[in-house]
Parts: sequence; structure tokens; C-alpha cells
Amino acid sequence: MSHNCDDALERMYLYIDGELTTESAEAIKVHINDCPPCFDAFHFEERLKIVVRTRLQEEVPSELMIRLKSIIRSETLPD
Amino acid sequence: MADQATFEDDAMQFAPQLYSAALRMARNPADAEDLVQETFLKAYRAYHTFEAGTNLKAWLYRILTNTYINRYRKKQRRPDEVELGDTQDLYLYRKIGSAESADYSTSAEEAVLDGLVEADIKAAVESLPENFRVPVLLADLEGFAYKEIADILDIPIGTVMSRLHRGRKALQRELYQYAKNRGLLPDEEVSARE
Repeated sequence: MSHNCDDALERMYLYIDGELTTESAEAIKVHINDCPPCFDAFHFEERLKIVVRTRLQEEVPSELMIRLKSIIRSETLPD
Repeated sequence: MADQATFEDDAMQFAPQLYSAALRMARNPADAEDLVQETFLKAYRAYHTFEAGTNLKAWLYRILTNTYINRYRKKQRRPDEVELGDTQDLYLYRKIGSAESADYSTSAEEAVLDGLVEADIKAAVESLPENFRVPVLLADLEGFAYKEIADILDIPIGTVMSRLHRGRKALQRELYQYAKNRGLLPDEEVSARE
């Protein structure tokens, strides 16, 4: 583990979440492309984030959508 | 100022996403539907205070999370926020690596990522304490920026980062248990002999 690895891992989530400036993100990209252990770790975390997002998607019940519309419409009715 | 007459057209498109988040917050469909209904009712009534052209999705999530947190904390009668034990960085990745066998035909990482089913991920997220679960949902499920999460939850951006970091590590510790129970990890005894 070099100093660059520590630095990259320290900012891994900032990088994955797109929170770094273009310049900082570019510096990390240069390092991970040159460092197979970091590349693997970053790749895994990026994949995991996508897996979590994808598998948490729910089908919204159609009755709920209908109910939401009717709630809004009943609110718009004049008293 | 937003016009209440356009609320349905403007806001309804976010209902399916809000429901996915609400279900992981409330942890059961009946309460999740209730949460979304209350969110939309409150949002409709307050829509004249929404500044048109600003972030409507974040505004709706702010109402959703406030509604959820108020309800949840009332029910728990325990306003204190839960702390999490410390977990090392890259927990799941390192655990998989240390259990990796000499079989290079499939990557152990891919086996775990492909093998964790929806139910595992949902249960693992639901196991997180509320003050960590909500930031993780906002970042990982919704893709909100840290600044947006800070605004939604009314907490400093540094707190968002630390909760997100610790919440994700705790999530990985849970996911590791699910992966292990599903037999997705190579036999640890085998790798221990290498």
C-alpha cells in the first residue's frame, strides 16, 4: 500500500458518489488505472452501489397511484 | 411560487421512487403507502410555498423523510440516535478476498454481487438504524448529492458523509452474512489451508 493507495481509498466514496472536483477525480482515476489492487476495490464498490440501487427498486402499487390522485383531486374541490 | 393546479403533473412522476424509499423506511407496505399518501397530501397543501424551478424531487423527499422520522421517533419513544460499532473499510471486498479459493474460473466478487438477491439487499438495508439507513437510501437508492442530502435531512454535510460512510460499512457487514448464508463465499476452511 503506497501513500497514493491510502489517499485514493480515503476518498473512494467521494469519487464514486461524484463529489470530487474534476481535477481530484482525474488524479484518482490515474492512480487506480495504474494500480490493480485499487482498481479492483473501486470496481467492486462501484458495482455494489449499482447492485444495491437496482435491487431496491419497487413496483409502486397501482391502487396507491389511484389513491394519490383522488386525494389531490378531493383537496382541489371547493368546500 | 408553484401553482397548485399543476401539482399532479409536476409531482406524480416521483411517486414510484418515493414509494421505493418509503418501503425501506417503514419496512412494510401498509405503512409505506400511508407514508407516501401523507407526503403527497402535505406536499399538495404546501405547494404554494415551493419555489418553482428549484429541486422538486428533493423537496418531496424532505417531506417524506420528515414525516417518516417524526412518526418513527414517536413510535420508538427513543429520540436518541443509535451508534454503530466500527467496521473496517472495504469490509465485504476484503472478506471475499480472504475467502477466495484457487479457482480462478469465476471471480468470487462477481459471485457475491450476482448472488445477493433482492430480499437480501432489502433486509440488510432495513437492518440499519434509522439515522444511518435514511442517508444511505438517499445516496444509494436516489443518487442525491451530499449537499442535497444535507438539505433534506437538515444536518451538516460532514455529518452526511460520516453517516453515509459508517452506514455503508454496516450494510456491507450485513450483506456478508447473507452471502455466507447463501453459500456464495468459497469454503473458508479450504482457503485457510492454502
